[in-house]
Amino acid sequence: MPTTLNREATPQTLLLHALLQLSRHLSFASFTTPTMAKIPRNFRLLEELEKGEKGIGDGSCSYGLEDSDDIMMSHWNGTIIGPGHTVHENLQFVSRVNLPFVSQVDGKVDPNKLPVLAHWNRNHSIETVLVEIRREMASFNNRKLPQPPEGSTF
Amino acid sequence: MSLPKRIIKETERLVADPAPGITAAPHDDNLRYFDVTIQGPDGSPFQNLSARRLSPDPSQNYSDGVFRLELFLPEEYPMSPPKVRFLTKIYHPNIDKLGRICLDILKDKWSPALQIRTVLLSIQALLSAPNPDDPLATDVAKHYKENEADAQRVSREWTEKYAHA
Amino acid sequence: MHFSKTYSQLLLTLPPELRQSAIQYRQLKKIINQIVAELNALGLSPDILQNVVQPPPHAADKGKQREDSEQYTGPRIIYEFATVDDHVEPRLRLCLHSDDLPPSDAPGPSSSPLRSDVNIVLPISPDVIRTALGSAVSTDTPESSEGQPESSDTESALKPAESSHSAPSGELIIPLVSDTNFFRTLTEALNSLAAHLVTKRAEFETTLRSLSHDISSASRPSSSTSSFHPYSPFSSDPANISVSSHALAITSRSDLDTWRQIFQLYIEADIFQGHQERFRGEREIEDAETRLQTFNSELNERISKGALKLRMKQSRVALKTFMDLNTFILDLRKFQHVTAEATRKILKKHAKRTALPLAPDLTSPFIIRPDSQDRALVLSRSTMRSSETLSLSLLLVQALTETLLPIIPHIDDYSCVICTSLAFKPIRLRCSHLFCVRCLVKLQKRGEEHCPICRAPTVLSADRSNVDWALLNFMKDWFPVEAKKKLQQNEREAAEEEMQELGLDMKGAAAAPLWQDNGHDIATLRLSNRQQIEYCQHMIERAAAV
Repeated sequence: MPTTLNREATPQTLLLHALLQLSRHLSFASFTTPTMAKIPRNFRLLEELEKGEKGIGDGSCSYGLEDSDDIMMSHWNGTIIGPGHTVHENLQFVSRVNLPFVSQVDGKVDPNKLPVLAHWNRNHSIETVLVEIRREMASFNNRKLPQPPEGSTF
Repeated sequence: MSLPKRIIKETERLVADPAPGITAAPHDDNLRYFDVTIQGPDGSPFQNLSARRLSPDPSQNYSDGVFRLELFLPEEYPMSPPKVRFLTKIYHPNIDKLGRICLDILKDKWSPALQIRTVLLSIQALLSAPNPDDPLATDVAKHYKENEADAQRVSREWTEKYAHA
Repeated sequence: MHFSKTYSQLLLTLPPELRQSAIQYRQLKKIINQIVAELNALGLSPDILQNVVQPPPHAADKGKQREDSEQYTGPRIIYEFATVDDHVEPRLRLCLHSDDLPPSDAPGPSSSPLRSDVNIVLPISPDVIRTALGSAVSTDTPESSEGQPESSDTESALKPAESSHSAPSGELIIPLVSDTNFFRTLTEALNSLAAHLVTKRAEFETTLRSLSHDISSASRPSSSTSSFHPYSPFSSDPANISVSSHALAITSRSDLDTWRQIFQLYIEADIFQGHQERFRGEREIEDAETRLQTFNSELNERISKGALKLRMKQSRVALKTFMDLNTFILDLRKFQHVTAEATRKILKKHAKRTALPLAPDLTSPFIIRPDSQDRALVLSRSTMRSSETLSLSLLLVQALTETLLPIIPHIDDYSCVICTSLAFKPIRLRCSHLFCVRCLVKLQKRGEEHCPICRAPTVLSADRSNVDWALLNFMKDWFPVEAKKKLQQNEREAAEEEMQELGLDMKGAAAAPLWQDNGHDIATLRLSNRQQIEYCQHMIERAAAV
């Protein structure tokens, strides 16, 4: 499980905890395939979970359930490996990160400030969110933002 | 686009003439998505005895003493199997913590001649006959293999604790 | 309390022909009064009788009671039935006990531990009885009276009066004249009812046969002659057999589809018998009545809306007859119920008023035992109603459904298990299982090798030679509407699929088939390469779909 990665061993791991708290009804309410069948939230999440467990893409993002007993699959841990050549590189955070869409009080992402959440689409996935956050981190405006010291948490 | 005739037919029969101990009702906003209940088979550790004791009328026990499941018919159904999952926690070697079920007909042994009804009856049968040699929940399977009586006791406890309305 | 009134009211709701063969409740009630008078004349008023009388030995088999009676040593009266000639004769058997006490002055053995409350003196002497009944009274030896009441050998129980000196340990038998009349009347009523029912059943079956004939001819397939081409491998090249969907239009007059709808509604109404998981078996009368009404009004509604068209006069008459037969079955059910109720009540009243034990059940004339032609009624015990008996109404329901429903082939018997629509065009796999061409092609495209029903590896090898032409023609004849619909559905689906494979989404677009040509040479295609197989199947599908 990506969330259990040891920080010491992989210092560039960024752990986004509780960032992916999924509503039972709203954002992931249901999804539509291009044709017709509307996949219910739970079965969509199961698919994503299986995908996440297998490992996805280039390995820069991964995710899984925070609690493997969570039958409603509401709490997820995402892991983003900081983009290279940015201040986020080697930045290890379970927590404190200075990004415009992250509240500096409690670490919550403001959905209005993160385009992928502001313009939510049923075809988006957890992976999409992580990849988008990573892209934001690497963006021209954010890549050089001053960051809190390593190891600090919200 | 409308729902395939086969799904309409299956749903009608499921609602009008349900199999004993099994209910399945589609969601209003998604006719491919079903709320399902399965009564633990008599004599199995998944039969909820306490619920049975509460009511002398057996038909009353349909609403409590049951396991809740959800079922989804993907676009390719019936060429592809339905997706089914337990929502009620259950201590069973072939059902994992998230309620996912290890049953061959839901995977490689699926046949389009099977139906929602036959799938649910097979799941009910799986409760009567756990198969620890083909486990999904490895710790439960280990328990079942090493000390079946004790594992069944835990199954019964979970049933009493979780399998009610 | 006022059953006789309810009874006559119930009978009024039934057709006169059934009403006339009903049992005469009032008359039987009068006879009961005569029995009571007769027993009173014997000195056996109900008060006395209820303390000393015992049911026939076989009816008192219930363990404890039996023990009681065996320990009771006072005078006893046994109420029993003997078959005399052609009728049943109820009689009283007086057991005079071996303790030598003359019945007339013997005090009852109040010392009896189990019947201590009984202190009976038989109030009459055999002489009195003999005087009262004249020669009808006889004594009997215990041996010769052992037989069951039903068995004919107890006829010998009646003996001439001259042998009537009662031995000290002997028994005295008193035939009950009014009671004999009672059972004779009741039995005769039930017998004539049974005979009447045999006639009604025969009438029903005759009507059913002619109805079956009428429906058959009214729903004959429209094609039958010119467009009917049973497939023969010798006479024609299968590639030349083309099925145009235009040929499937209904051209000549036939009420085939109408009768199919009627029967479908009838099956769904499930009027007399339940076939569901929750309820199987014969329904309650009220339930059946409601269902028949619902079925009837549904039919009428469809007819008035024009959804159900009875084009032929023959069909209209047949539908009326069909409804009449169903109504008859329902009336029969009611009549059966009310007769059973009247029989039960009058026997109960008989027992209550006379203090004689309840007579054993009479066999119902509505119960048919398949193995026995003999419908003669005897007083029989309820054990006769074994599981192999069948109620007459159910028998008629079965005759009705078994005769009429198969006239119109039912779509469920010709459906593809995958799409549940008519398996058109029908593909018969080597393992003999049947699917529609569309579903088979889908299976092949997925590379599925195994038959969905038996898992035999027969799917990928299926090709044009697997089209079941005979069945295809049969379906064209008997399911013209369904076949046409399925064909259009197949074409639409195939077209959509093709567009998707080409990377186009044609949702909402009119489903215009891309091909109009039917000139593909598919006879030579038998290939191993996966892609070629797919192509081949695609061609088969096209060929079959056009």
